[in-house]
Amino acid sequence: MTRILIVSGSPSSTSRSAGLSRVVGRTLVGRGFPVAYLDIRDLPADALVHADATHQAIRDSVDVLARAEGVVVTTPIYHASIAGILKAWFDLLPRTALAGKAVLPLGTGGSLAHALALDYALRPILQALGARHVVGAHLVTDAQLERTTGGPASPAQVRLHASATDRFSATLEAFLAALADHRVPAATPGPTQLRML
Amino acid sequence: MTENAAAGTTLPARPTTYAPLAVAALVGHPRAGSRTEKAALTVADAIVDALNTAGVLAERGTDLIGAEVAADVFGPASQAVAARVDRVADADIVVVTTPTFRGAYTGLLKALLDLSGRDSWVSTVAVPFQVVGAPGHTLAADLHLRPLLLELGATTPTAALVAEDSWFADGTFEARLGAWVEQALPVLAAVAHALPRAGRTSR
Repeated sequence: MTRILIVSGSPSSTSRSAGLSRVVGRTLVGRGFPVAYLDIRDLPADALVHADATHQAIRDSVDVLARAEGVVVTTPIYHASIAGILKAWFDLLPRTALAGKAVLPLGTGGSLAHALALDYALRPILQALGARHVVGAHLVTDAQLERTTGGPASPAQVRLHASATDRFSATLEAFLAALADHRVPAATPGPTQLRML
Repeated sequence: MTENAAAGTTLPARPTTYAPLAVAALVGHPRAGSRTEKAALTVADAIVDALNTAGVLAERGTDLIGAEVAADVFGPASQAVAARVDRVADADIVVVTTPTFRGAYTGLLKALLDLSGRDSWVSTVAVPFQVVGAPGHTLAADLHLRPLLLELGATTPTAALVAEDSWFADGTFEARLGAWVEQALPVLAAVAHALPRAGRTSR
């Protein structure tokens, strides 16, 4: 079964963005996919900010990414772009770290005003890392993510508001379809075959 | 509300006396002493020299070399780093500098700017300065760096300054910088003087 890695780019463990990563994870597990989580905030800050790709924890994150066929990236939107800590991790990855993979960009933000940030700020970076198929990005507003308990919540205690589930489901279906495409072996003709055609 | 709000607005006159314009560099390279850092300081120096030569008082402000504070960006000491970011934004003109990683500014630069206080940049003229490995990344300065500066509230009236790695090797960077400064100088001086200085902390 296809492995999916869910990357959370939130610097906070109790943020709605972190919660969204668990909402996605639970949904995918429910669909029978093996899911792994990578929370960037758990990586050593020193290695991230000094771009130290040799640090063992960074290497481990590169390995877990390499084993995934699908990647979900969740980030809060800060200043109309992705979280700095997430970009610091992207900076450490091999140039082809997303080669062959389907990628789903997801963001959280206070309003829809910055929904385009996912397409203009995040998508080009995912393409630069060689992603095979970046599916349609989706921004979930803070109001669409409800805490199921009062006070500071663990990521597990966030759920999607009923008004947002249709669009969210459609986003996930597009991602799963892109993942499935991947399993068609050698469907893409190489340059030589193209010339023969 | 039928009143025309603009009718009551008085624009500031061009000052006849003023404090020297402060010009600072903010550097997002993750390694201290990088060529990008040296280039950023060269740019800030060149702007000060050109302003003074043109008869506009200017001086170097307090720089922020990201690599020197990087260790505290995400930790409990991030408040102190935030204060440093706000302090660099207090300069009149800030050369916001980054190398190009994955086709965009660095994570370190974004992490530093994420710490900016609300409205820290609203009276600041920011110069987007991007060092690129190849000409194919030239647009990164206008596609990624400039929108970030605008979102922070900074004003970016000049063309972005983009330097290719090879310009340092072949020694043409200074001459190319000189051409950019010549073009940018009038608008830099005019806009920096026009922006309100209220709310700035002491430098």
